[in-house]
Amino acid sequence: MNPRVRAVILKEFRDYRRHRFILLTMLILPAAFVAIPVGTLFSLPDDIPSSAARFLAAQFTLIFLIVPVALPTAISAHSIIGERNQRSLEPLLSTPISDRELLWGKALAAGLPAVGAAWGIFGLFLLFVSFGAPQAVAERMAAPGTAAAVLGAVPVIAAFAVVVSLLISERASDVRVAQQLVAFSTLPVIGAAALFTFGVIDFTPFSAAVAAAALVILDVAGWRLLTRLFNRERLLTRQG
Amino acid sequence: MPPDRADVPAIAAEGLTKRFGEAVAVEDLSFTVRSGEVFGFLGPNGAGKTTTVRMLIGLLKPGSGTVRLHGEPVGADDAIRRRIGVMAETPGLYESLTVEENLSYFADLHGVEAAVRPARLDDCLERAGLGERRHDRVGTLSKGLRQRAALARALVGSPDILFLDEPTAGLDPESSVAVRKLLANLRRSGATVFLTTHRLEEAARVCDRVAILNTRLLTIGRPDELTRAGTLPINIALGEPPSPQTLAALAALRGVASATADGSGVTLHAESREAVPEAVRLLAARGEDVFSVTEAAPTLEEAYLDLVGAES
Repeated sequence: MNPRVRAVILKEFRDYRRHRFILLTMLILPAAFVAIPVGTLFSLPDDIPSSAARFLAAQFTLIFLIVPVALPTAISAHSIIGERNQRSLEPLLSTPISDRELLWGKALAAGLPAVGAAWGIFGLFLLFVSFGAPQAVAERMAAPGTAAAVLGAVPVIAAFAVVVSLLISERASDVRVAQQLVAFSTLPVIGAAALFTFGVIDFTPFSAAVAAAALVILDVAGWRLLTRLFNRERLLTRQG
Repeated sequence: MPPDRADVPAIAAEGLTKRFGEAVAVEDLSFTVRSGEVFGFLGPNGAGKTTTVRMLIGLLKPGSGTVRLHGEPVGADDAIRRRIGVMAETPGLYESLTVEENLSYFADLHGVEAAVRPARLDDCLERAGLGERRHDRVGTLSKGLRQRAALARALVGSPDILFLDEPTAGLDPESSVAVRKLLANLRRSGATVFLTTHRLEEAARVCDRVAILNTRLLTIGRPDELTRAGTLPINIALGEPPSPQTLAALAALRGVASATADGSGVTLHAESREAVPEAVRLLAARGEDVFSVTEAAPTLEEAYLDLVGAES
């Protein structure tokens, strides 16, 4: 890995550890996202009807797809504007770091924990499922298609959330506004995931592949836009 | 034959102009800074000092003009920033990290090799007098210590040229002295220092040359040269405060730039001491008792105020 990208990631991770709020968000949110479905799972009767099992499995899947959106956005929405607010942006940009290195570092520092947490809680959930969930739900959740969808969708959804957050962070003048805009702008992705999980759009290998491809295209286009719009002069002078 | 490295200016600005919308921040600025020189950059608020520094280090693109550092053009290329250290007006440190972690991060960004990093960090921390505070979180440090930490951070890449923006702004006298000592050490070590400051006495003390800017370059030279170029303050002690008519008559004398009441006396700003006999004769003719005439040492501050005042 590029040493300057690695330096940015390590610095961000160190920063997370020192900020109790960020650390708590990173721990509590995934814990809640795994506790809710597990709690629901063990309160279900064994003979749950198939339609209810399908509905619950859809809900659980949606929860695991929300994590990669919810976790990184708060962090990456703050990442550029936060540097500017604490006046560290000018010293940082005065070093040999390139725009791309800085953005890669910020993006990976926000995205990697989110992907790790989403996969981790999904794995944990599957473990609980194997310990005695109603058969109908367990079969749906542990089905290769569901597992592949969650594992495959998490990185591209996280990437989308991070890129959108960084774009907003780079353009916004206030952290609170940035966070609000980020929350709003990721709703379409959650909405699209909901259409799949609740069966409005049939989940087939083809539809999943089309959705994933669309999201990858959005990610790439968003990244190109981000690197093109990143403007040191405007960030430092608020002009342009 | 290629020029000797010592002959190439550390900084060469040629015709720099920068506008923000309709406002002109810097206009047609040209100067050079020699290698190993401590160069002071003075000017009132809004004179374009920070904009100039940002153009010099490639953070802002000039509207017109060029910048060369050690003969190499400054542009969007990141390579030139390997050779410079920058201390911005505000320290801009990461408060949740320790002093050492802040420096270590910037050492990574400057590409300092792992083998030499511990010694480099030790050296920078010692030079800034922060050896004992290296494990303290920046958020717990006083303003003076943060300023010194920012200075240590600017040194961590072992730069050829240091850009320091108001390094002693808002510091108590003890911290200011510590920073000035560090500047003196840097000067002895042969580093080129571009020092932006409001503190004229500091510039006079530590700089080899100074430039005075007010959007455009007003003057450039050694502090003693600029001091001599300014007006000479002359204090005349009288028996009682001078009348407005007397002040007006003094100000109208040849070679006198201004005459102001100063308690029961008058302060003349004259082009030279040749104005003194005529002023004394005028006061005597008006029946004033002249008790003493004192020639004050001209200061860089007076030269600065003359230049900036005349410009305004």
